[in-house]
This record gives sequence, C-alpha cells and structure tokens, in this order.
Amino acid sequence: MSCVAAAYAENKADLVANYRIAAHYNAADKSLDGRETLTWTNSSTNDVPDLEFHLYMNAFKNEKSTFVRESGGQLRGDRLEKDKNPWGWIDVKRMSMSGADLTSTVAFIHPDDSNADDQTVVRVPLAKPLKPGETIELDIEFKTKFPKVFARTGYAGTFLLAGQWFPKIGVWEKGAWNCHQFHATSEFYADYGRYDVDLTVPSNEVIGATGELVKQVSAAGGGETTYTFHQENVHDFAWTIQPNYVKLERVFRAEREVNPQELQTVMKRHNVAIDEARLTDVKVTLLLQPEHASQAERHFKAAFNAIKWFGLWYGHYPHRTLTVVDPPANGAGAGGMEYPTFITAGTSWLTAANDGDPEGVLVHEFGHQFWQGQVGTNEFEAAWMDEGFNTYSTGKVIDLAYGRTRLPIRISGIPLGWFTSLPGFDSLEENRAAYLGIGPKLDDLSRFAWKYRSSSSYGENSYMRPALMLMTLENLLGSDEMERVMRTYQQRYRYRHPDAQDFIHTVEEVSGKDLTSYFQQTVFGSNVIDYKVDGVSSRLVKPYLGVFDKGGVKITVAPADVEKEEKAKKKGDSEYLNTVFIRREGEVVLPVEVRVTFKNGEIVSEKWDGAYRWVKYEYVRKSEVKQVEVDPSRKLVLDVNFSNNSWTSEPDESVVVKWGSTMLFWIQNILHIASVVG
Amino acid sequence: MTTMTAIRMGMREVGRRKKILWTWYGLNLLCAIVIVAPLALAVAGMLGESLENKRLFDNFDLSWLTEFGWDAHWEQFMVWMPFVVSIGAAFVLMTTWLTGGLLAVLRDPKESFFGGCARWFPPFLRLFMMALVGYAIGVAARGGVLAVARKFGDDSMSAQPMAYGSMVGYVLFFALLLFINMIVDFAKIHMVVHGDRAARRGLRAAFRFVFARFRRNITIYLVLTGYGLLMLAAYHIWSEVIGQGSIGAVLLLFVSRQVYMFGRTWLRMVFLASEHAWFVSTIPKAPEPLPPIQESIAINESV
Repeated sequence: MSCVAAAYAENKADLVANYRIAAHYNAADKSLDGRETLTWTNSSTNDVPDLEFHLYMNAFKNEKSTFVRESGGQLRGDRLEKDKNPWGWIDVKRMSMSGADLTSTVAFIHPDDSNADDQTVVRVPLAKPLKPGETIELDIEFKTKFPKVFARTGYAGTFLLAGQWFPKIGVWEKGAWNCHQFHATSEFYADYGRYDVDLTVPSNEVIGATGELVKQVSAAGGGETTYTFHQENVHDFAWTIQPNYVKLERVFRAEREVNPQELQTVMKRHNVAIDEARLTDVKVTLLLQPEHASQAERHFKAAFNAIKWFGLWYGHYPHRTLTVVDPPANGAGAGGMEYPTFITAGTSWLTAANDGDPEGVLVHEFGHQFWQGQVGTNEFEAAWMDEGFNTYSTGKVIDLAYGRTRLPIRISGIPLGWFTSLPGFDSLEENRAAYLGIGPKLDDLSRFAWKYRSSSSYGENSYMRPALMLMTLENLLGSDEMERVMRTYQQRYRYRHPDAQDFIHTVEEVSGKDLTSYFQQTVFGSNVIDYKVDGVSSRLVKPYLGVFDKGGVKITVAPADVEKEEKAKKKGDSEYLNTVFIRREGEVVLPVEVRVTFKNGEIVSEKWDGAYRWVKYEYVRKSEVKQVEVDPSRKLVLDVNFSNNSWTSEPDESVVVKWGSTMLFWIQNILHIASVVG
Repeated sequence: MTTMTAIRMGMREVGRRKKILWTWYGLNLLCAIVIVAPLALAVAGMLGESLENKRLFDNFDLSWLTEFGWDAHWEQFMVWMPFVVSIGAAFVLMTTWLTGGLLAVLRDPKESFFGGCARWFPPFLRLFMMALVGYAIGVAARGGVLAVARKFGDDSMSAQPMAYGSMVGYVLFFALLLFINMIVDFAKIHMVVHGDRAARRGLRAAFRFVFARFRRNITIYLVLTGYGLLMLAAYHIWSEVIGQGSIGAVLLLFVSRQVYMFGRTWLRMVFLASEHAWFVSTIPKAPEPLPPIQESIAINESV
C-alpha cells in the first residue's frame, strides 16, 4: 500500500464539536439572538475539569480588547471608524448543562497576555471532570451585536458577513485547552463537527452560508424566512446576507473539467486507484456585488481552476458546495477570508485582464479549504502551516492556469494595464519580492502569530517565506516527489490537527531523506541562504624555473628557456590554472551545486556541502574559465541574492543600458514637468 | 491675429533660436544623467560580471528590485533622494533663468540672450514663488474634492463614487495647473514686453489679460496641449512597437525617447513664443506722429 493509499485508509473526521444553532437576525440594530446546542465529546485520554470558549466577537467590543490594541484600529487595509459606533460584541445570556445552570460560573480569562479587559475567551468550571470518551450537551443562549466591517466580520450598508458570531468551544489537546484570545494577526482553531443552523432573516435578503441549504420556511406574512443549513466535517460556520446580491450558480462537473489523461497522471504518480484520483461535482454559488456582475465568468473560472488543481494534487474537495462571497467596497475588510465551504474573495470595480484580480484572492481562499479547512492546523500557533502552504499551492495554480500576472496599478480605479504593458511576475518572483522587500532575518516561521516583531514580519513569515521554503524543498526533492509528500500529508491529516513535526516526519517518510537540518534552519531559524561566486582567475601554467634533477643530471631552467618553449607552443597548447572560489555568505548551510564552464565548452559540475565558509576548486585545462554558477538550477529560491550566484568572463551589461535609459527618460520627463512651473 | 497664426509665428520664432532650444534640452538631459548615474552605477556594480545581466535583460524580474534594495540596504536610497530633489530644484531654476532670456530675445532680437536671462531671473523667481501658492491651492482643491467624495463614497457599497470623485479631483487639479501656468506665462510676457520687473503687477496684468480674452487664450493653450498629447500618443505607439527586446531596439528606443524629449522642449518654447506673439498682437499700435501744429507756427511768426 502506498503512503497516499495508507493515508486514505485513515481519512475520517472525528466529530468532536457538533452545533445545533437557531439564530434570529435583527436587521434594525444589526444584532442576532441565538440559541446553541453544543454536543462535545472528550476524545482525549485525560479528564477535562472545565470548558473554554471563544467569544471572538468581543474583540470588536471596545478599544481595550487585545485585538484592537494590537491592530491599532487598522488591519487588512481597513480601519476602525470609531466615530461611527463600529463596535460589536457577544453576550452569553445563559449556559446550562443537563439542566444545571452554569451561567454564573462563566468567567473571562486571558491566557495569552495580561490584558484583563480582553473578553474573547471564557472558562466554565464543571461540577465534575469529564471522563475520556464522555459526551456532554450544553445549551447556550447568546446575543451578538455585529460590528461595522473592519476586519473579517460585520456589516457594511446592507451587507452582512457573519463570521465568528457564536460561542465556540476551544480545542482540548495534550491535557489542556488550546483556546487563545483573538489577536490582530491570528485566525482560528477548532475541532471538527457537524453544524445544523437555522437562520431567520428578512425575506428580501439573498443568503449564503457554510454547507447545504436543506430547508427554507417563510413565516406567515412573508416578512421573515428561516433557512436551515447543514454541513459535516467542518470546524466553523459563516454566513452572509445582502438584498441585492447577484446570485449565480454553476456546477463544477468533474468529468467535464478533468480529462482522462490528467486522471491517469495522478493515478500513476501517487499509485492510487481511479476512485481516489477522481474528483467530485461541486455546486459553486457566486454572491456578487451588482457592479461586479460582469466579472462572473472570471470568478467561476478561478473557482473551477482551484477545485480542479487542488483536487488533483491533494485529493478531491470533499464537500458538495462552495459559496464565493464578493464583499462591497465599504466592506472590503471582510474580503479574503476562508470558512468551510464558504469563502470571501474581493475584486475591483474595473479590472484589466491578467492583473490578478479577482483570481489571486479567490484561488487563495479556496486553497484554505485544504490547508486549514481540511488539514486543521493551528492558525494561532503555526500560521505558516496554513498560510504558507496555501501561498505555495495558490502560486502553483495561478502559474499553471494564468501564467504571469501583471502589476495591478490603478489610477482613480482605472487599471493602467488597459493602456500600457506593465511588468509581469510569477509566484516565485512575487514571493521573493515580498520576502526581500520586507526584509529577511526578522523572525523564524515557528512563532505564535501575535508574537512576531510586526504585522509585516508576520506576513512575511506566514505567507512568503514558508512558500519559498516549500519551493526550495520541491526543488531539492523533485516535483513528483514533492507532490507525493503534499498529498500524503493532506490525506493523512485531513480532519486532524497536525503540527510542524507531523509534516516533517511525513516529508522524511515519503522522500526517505533526513531533512532535519533543512527544517531546523529554514523553519525554526531566521538565518538566510546566500551563496556566491567569490573569485575566479585563470593564469597560464608556465614551466617552473630553477634546478631540477632528471636522470641523475641537474638541469637548470632559466627564463629564456621558458620563453623559448612558450613560443614553440601552438595556439591552444597552453595550459591554464583556473581557480574558482565559492563562498557561503549566509548562515544557512545546505549542499549546493557548482557548475564551471570553460571556453572550450567543457562543463564541470561540483557538489559542495557548504559546511565551511568557502571552497576552492582548481582546474588545469587548455582553456580558461568562461563562466561559473553556484546553484545553477536555482533550487535554493530562499537565496537572498541571485546576482552574486554567477560569474562570466564576458559580462553583458546591456541590461544596465536598458534600465538606465528608461530611468533617464522618466527622470527627464519629471524634470520637464517640474520645469513648467519655472 | 488668429490662434493658428500665433502658433505658426511661435514655431517660426523657435525655429530661429535653435541654440536656446538645444541648451534647454541639453540641460534637461544633463540633469537627468546626473540623477540617474549613481543609481545606474549601483545597478552595474551589483550585477557586475553576473549572468543575471543576461537573464534580466530578457525578463524583468520584480524580485530583483527588492534583492537590489536588500543588498544595497534601502537606507542608501534615502541618501539619494535629497540629491535627486536638489538637482530637480536646480533644473527648475535653470529653466526660469532660460525663460527670461528667451522672452527677452523674442521681444527684441537684438537684445543679449544671457543679459535677458540675468535681468529677468529675480522677478521670475518671485513669480515662481507666487505660482507655488497657486499649485498649493490646486492640491488643496483636489484634496477637497476627495474629502467630499470620501464623505459620500466611504460608506458606499459601490466603489464608483470614490473613483469618480478621484477622477474629478484629478481633472480639477490639472485644470488649475494648466490655468496657473497660463497666467504665469502671460505674467512673464507682460513683464518683459513692458519692461516692468514687478512680479505682482505682472501677475495682476496677466489675470486681466487672460480673462479679457479668455477664449482665445485658452484656445492657444489647448491647441498646443493637444499637440503635446499627439506627440505622447505617437511616442507611446512607437515605443510599444519597437519594444526593448534587443540591444539594437534599446538603442533605437533611446534615440526615439530623446527625439520625444527634444520635441517636448521645443513645444514648451513654442508655448512661450506663441503666447508672446499673441500678446504683442493685442497691444494697440502707437499712433502715427501728428503733423506740426499750424497755430503755433503762426504765433511764432507773429512774434
């Protein structure tokens, strides 16, 4: 049985936290009255003395919350409009278990910081500890007031995105609760379960939610409608309403979208049966803003590309629905979010072809269905394991399906790409640009999300650097091997909560290689990779001068003899001592290839372990060195300087002429415009 | 005088003053070279004998830019920026200086060009300061339009109010810019033609002149602006056609760009010369000298 097939065999979700929620939305004050029945099972081997819940919505309650303090009222391109009563909150009105009222015992705790004013986590002591395997049922009444959209959730005009809107139990693991406060740079972590949710909203609203709509009942008079949604094997539930959404539906037909050859490739590469390679049909629902209706095709195409390639590479998308929400302009902070079977994308009013909007964000958010939605890593503690994995995977889909993306530069909302050709980039260039732009050496990947030096360091080390780390790993292992690694990891930990070591073990198991050092340096360290060609020289090998013993006779070689000998040599007979120095500038030590090309066309490849600071190669040849390349195949894409990776005896500086003349022209124009003032 | 006559006269006048045109263009090129040289040298230094030269020539790599920034440490750019601003300011002052000379020889071809530059530089500099106030008003007006757009658009579910607001802001800003430039041009012309070095008086006179003949003034300005836009469109199409795929194309584009810049400089001078021709044509001709007064002769005779 292959690694992937073995992983399939274990592929079942433990439904630990099951929610039955009935909620009534009050449009007048953007609030909600809810009742939640939580069935929770102690799936551990320890007794559980208490319960901990997330009350995420209290992050938006006031300026004293950890979330607002950390974000400074600005996040994800949006800002908290404090003068417009933007606040949101959640109150637990009643909590009971088996008829016993626990409400008075509910207490706020702040496990991550000393902020006593933060109300995003509560603890509920239990009268007696829960035994392993024991299941409890809690009845919780709550009221949620939605904030004005600032980050991820809330209302904007008639738009509402309800995320993190109900009391949600933490994850009991390793004998303790993993239930962090809501931070500016962290997202979510929860157990899998079944959600049955009744949402009562005004009947004129167009609604979308996690899972499948199983029932729809309009109240007498028709003012309100109750929608019932159901979904299993998920760890969250979100929904949205807006009266004038443009709602479009289309089915991803697996048989039409995936050709037999693509299926064969998957079967062969992963040694799996056709049933395991085959994808399933998915009903895709778009909820678009009216002014973006003309971009529906682009949205569908992006969603289909994502369903297809993620499914072929990592295993089929296991749910029957996918809802894509397009937030309005004043609710952009709710865009770019992932919830199970439900994602928020985001686009611009006007877009040029190939400028990455809306495809980039849509594919990325869909990718989270796999990395975090199915492989349930802890977004608080290991953001790189969902964002980084997803950035890596998204880049592969975008590169494959769309090629190079153009810089999305707009003036007054009008894309510059309509008028002129803008520079393009692929995912490697995009990730390297951001990695080097923010600045390496700030943090390592393994920090808790809110403990990074800055939000930009969080971004770099959660998105771009892990993506580059995985690209480097792919280059070291080979594409096919990497795909086997990723698929095995995905299948093995689908509906589970793996950590970094689980991934590392999977890589080592599938590849059969010891990669401890690689991960130690690139995941748990903040050092950089930088190899360089440190010096190249070629000099003629001349006969040595002096007195030499030859057959018992002393022979003196004088300069004149050497000169005579040199003159006698035919062209091409001269020998050169070629010396090449390669240096490791960075602290990360990895084996690297060195390729030396001589002027006569001979190529020598060397493998250097990179252990010492430098290495010297010497070659006596009848030719001088033409060029030297360290890491010629660009395997180590984490290298912070590609420019010093090569040397040539015939430097071509035409790019300096090209860029220099362009810069000159622009500066001339700017000066000219400025001079009109004079 | 018709608009086209004024423009034709302006073109003829500029055609007679090729040295000034070349000097103006040369200074623009020189200042740009001085600004770009350190950056180009830094790029050349980093790429040196690297094979990246070839790769980057064929394909622009966004990540190379940040690699360059990381290697050169971004702070060094902070040192470069004041240098850029200084050279830019110097170029603006140089063109102020050149404008005085140009207008002086347009008024009287016998006048010394450099004498005109020196004579008119101080009042033109004062005019420049006043123009800056006008530009500040332009920036504030754009900010005001944006603030209004934000007031109505910030809470809008549509992106269009903000986008349209921004467009209106730009149009207003550029219209004000164009208007201020026109006023300042005529202020300079008024001062030189009337030999009056008072900048404030020149500005007042320019306002009166522009508003008194608003349609004609704006027509000359817009027709010449149209020429400028046509030149830009022609350059843009040509540059897209030839691209920069080979060193030959790069050199051809370089020459094309310099032709374009030369054209822009020429057009700037044509602006001033055409406006000058039009301004002079509006000055009433001095009356013919009167014949000797007969009565006085008679008186003298009687005496």
